[in-house]
Amino acid sequence: MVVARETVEQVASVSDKYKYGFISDIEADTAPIGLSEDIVRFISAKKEEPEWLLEWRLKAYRHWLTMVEPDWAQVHYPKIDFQDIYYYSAPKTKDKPKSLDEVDPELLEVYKKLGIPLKEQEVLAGVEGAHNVAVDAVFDSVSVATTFKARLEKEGVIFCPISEAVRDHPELVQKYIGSVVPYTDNYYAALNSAVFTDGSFCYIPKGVRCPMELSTYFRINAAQTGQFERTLIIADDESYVSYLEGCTAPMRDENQLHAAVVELVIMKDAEIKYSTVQNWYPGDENGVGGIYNFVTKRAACRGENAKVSWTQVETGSAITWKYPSCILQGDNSVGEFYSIAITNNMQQADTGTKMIHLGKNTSSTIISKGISAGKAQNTYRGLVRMGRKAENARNHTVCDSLLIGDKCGAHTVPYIENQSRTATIEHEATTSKVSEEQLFYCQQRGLSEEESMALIVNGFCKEVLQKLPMEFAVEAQKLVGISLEGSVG
Amino acid sequence: MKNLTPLAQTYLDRFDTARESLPGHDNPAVVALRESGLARFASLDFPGRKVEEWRFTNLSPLTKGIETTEAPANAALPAAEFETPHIMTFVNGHFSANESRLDKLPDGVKLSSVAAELDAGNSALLGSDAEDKRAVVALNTAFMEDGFVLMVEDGVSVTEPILIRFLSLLGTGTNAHHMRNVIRLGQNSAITLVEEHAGIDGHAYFANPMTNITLAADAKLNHYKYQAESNTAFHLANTDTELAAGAVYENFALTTGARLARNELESRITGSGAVSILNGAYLIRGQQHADTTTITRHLVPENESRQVYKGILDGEAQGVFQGKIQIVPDAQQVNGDQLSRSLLLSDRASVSVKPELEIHADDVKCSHGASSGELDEDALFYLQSRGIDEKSARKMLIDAFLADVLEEISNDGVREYFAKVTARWMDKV
Repeated sequence: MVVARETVEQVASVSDKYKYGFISDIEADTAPIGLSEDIVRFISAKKEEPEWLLEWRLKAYRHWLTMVEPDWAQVHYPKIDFQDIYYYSAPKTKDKPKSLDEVDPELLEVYKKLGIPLKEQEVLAGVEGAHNVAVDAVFDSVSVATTFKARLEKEGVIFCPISEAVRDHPELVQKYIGSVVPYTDNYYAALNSAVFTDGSFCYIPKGVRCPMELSTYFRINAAQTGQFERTLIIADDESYVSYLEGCTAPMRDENQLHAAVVELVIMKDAEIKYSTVQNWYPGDENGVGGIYNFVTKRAACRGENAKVSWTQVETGSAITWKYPSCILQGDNSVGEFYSIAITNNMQQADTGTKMIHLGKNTSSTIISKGISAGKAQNTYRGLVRMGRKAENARNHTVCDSLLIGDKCGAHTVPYIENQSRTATIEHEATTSKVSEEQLFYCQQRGLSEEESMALIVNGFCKEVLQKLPMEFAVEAQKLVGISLEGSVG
Repeated sequence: MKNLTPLAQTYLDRFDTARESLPGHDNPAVVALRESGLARFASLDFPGRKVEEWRFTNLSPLTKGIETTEAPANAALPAAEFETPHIMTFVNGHFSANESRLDKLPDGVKLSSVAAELDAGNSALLGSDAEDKRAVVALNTAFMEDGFVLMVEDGVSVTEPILIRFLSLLGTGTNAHHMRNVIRLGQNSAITLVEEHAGIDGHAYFANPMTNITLAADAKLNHYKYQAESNTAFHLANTDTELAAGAVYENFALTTGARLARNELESRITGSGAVSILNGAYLIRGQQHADTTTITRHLVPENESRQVYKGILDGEAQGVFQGKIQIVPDAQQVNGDQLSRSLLLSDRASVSVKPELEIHADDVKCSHGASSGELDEDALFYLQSRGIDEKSARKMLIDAFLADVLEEISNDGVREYFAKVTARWMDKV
C-alpha cells in the first residue's frame, strides 16, 4: 500500500508539534500601539499612498467606529482590545532589494524555515515548466520579496505587492479595490480597509493563461501585532490563474489578530483557482495563545462562463471565522468551494461559504469536510441563495463532519434561500465518528493507532485534497496528520 | 424603555381591563403566573427579523395591529369532516359543550377545559415557563383563556382518535385566541389525537396556541394537526414535548391555512429508547407564508429522532423550514435524521431553509438533507409521451411527491383524511 507507506512516512517525518513556531529576530519598523485616525494616516504616509486611498481608508475607519463586533458565529473568546495591537510592523530594510542576494540573510533564513523554496524554484523550473511557482512573501504586514517577476511581465501578468500596485497601476487598484468587499461589508472588512498594510496584487490580462502558479506566504512575526493584508486578483476575459496562499506564525502565549480581505474579480470566460493552506499557530493544548483568523474572502464572477474555485485546508488558528464566497453574476458562471477544516485541542472554527446565484444557468458545488478532535468546536455555516432571475441554477452541497473523541463538537448551519422555480438545490450533511472496524483493520495491518487515524482522515478528506495543486497537496496531507497528533489514545 | 410594537403595546394596555374576565382571575397563583408572563412579554416584545430564529418570518403585518372585522350575518359552523366518537370543540377561544361529545371516553382518560381547571385553581398543571424566551408563549401565559387538558392514566389506551376543533367565527368582539393545552400521558398509555384549526376566509384574527406535552415511560402519542385557518388569519403555534424512556411521539402537521403561520415544535428527549418523529406537509398559495420550526434536543444517550417535511408552493407563497437537531455532551448512541423538500410551482414562490446540526457527542449518527426545485421535466415528459395530458401528469407527480410524507402517518383514518384534504387543495392548482 503506497498510500499507507506515504502516510506513515509523513507522520514520522513530523516530529515537532508546530515547526513554524520560531521567532525571528529581525529589526522592525513599528507604528505606535493602538488605533486612531493618526495611525491610519501614519500607515498611508509610510506607504506613500495617493490621496484617494487615504480618503478611502479614513472613510472605512469612520465607518468601522459605528459598527459592532459580530457575535453570531459559534466561537467564544475574550473581547479583543483593538487599542492593544500594533497596526504596522515592517522588517527594516535600507533600500528596496534588487535581488535576493541583497535581502537580509536573517529573512532568507526565515523563508528556509518556512520551507519556501525561493531559490530552489529556479532549479525546479528546468524540471517541469508547468509547476513553477512565483512567490510573494508577506512578512508581518509588508511584502518583502516577489520572485519570477520578469518571467511574468513577459506575459503581461502583473504580480506584485499591493502597495507597489497602488504606485505603478493606480487605475487598476482604484477601479477594483473594495468593489467586491466594500468597506461597509462587515466589522473586520472595515477594519482591514482602514489599516491594511500590504498583500498581493495580481492582474491577468485578456486571453493569458498564467504560465505558473502564483503564491503568497503570509507570516506574522512581531509580537502583539495584527496582520491586515489585502489581496486583489483580477482575471480579465478568457484568462486563467491558479493562486496559492500559505500562512504561519510563531508560537506565542498571547492571541494575535489576523483580519485579511481577499477580493477576486473574474471576467468573461476567465477562471481563478484559489487555494489556501492555513496553518497559523493554533495555541497550545490548553488554548493559550494562537491566532484569531477573521477573514473576508469573496469572488465576483462578473462575466459569462466565469469560474472560481476556492479550496481551503484550515488546520491552524485558535479561532477561524472565514466564509470564502462566490457571487455568480454572469450567466453560466460556476462557483466551487472545497474545504477541509480540522480543529484539535481547544481550537474553534466557524467556516463555510456563500453562493449567491444571480445569473442564469449558474452552478455551484460545496464540499465541506469538518474534523473535530480534542475539545475543539467545528462549525460549517453556509448560504445558498437563488435570486429571482437565476433560471436553471443548480447547487449541490455535501457537508460531512467527523468527530474524534467525546469532548468535541461538530455543527452544521446551512441557510438555503430559493426564489427561483427552475433552480435545483440539493443539500446533505452527515456527522459520524471513525468506525472502530476501520481503525482495527489498519492497526491489524501494523499501523499504530495514530497512523491509522491519519490514514482514515486523509481518506475522508481525499475529495478535497485532490483539488489542491500538487505542491500543496503533499503539504496539506502532512498537516492533516500533524493537526490530529495527540487526539487518539 | 424601548419602543414596543403597536400590537404589543395594545396587549400591555389591555391587560388590566381584560384580567377580570380571564379564567382563574380570583386565584392568586393564576394571577401571579399571568403577571410573570406579561412582564416577560413586555421585555421581549414580538421578535423582529434581526432575531436569528425569526430571520425568515416577518411578523410586522401582525404587529402593526390586525384590523377588526365587522360581524356580518352568522356564518354556519363548519361540520367536522373527520369521523370519530370523541370530539371536543372550542369556538372563538371558548369550550363549547354543545359541539362536543366526550361521554364515550373510557375510564382513565380525563379531557377537560383549561378555563375550568384555572377557575378551580389548578394552575400547577401548566408547569412553569419562567425561563422561556419566546414572546408568544409569554403572551399566551398572560392572556390564556381556554384550551384542553388531556390526562391519561398508566396503561390506558384509546383506539379511536380524539378530535379537538378550534373554530374561529365572525362576530364575537375579540380577534385573538390564546389557547393553552396540556397533555399528560401516563406510563404505557397510548392515544391518538387530531387537532383541527379552522376559520372562515376573510376573517382576520390571531391564533396563538401553546401545547405542553409530557409522555411518561413507554407512552405513545400520535398527534396530528390540520391547520386550515382563515386566509387572513395569523397562526403562531408552539408545541413542547418531553419524552421519557421508551416513549414514542409521532407528530404530523398539515398546513394549508392562514396568511402567516408558524408551527414551532420542540422535542426534549430525556430517556433512552425514546423516539421523536416530527413530520409535516405545507401546501400554500397566494400571499401565504408558512413557517415550520423544529428543535429536537437529545439530552441523554440511546434514542432516536426522525423528521420529514414537504412543501408545495404556488402563487407568491413563502415557505420556511428551520430544523435543529441538538445532541448534548455524552448523549452517545443517538440517531437523528431530517429531510426537508420543497416544490415550487410558480415563479413568484420562494422557500428558505435552515437545517441545523449541533453535535457534542461522537458516537452518533446524524444527517440532514434539503432540496428545493420544480417538477422533474424528464418525468413530466415521460408521462406525456405515454399519452397522459400535461395537467394530469403534473398532478400525478405532485401526488407522488406528497405521498412519500403522507405515508409516514401511522393512523389509517387520519392518513386518508389528510390525503383527501390535500387532493382538494391540488384541484385548485
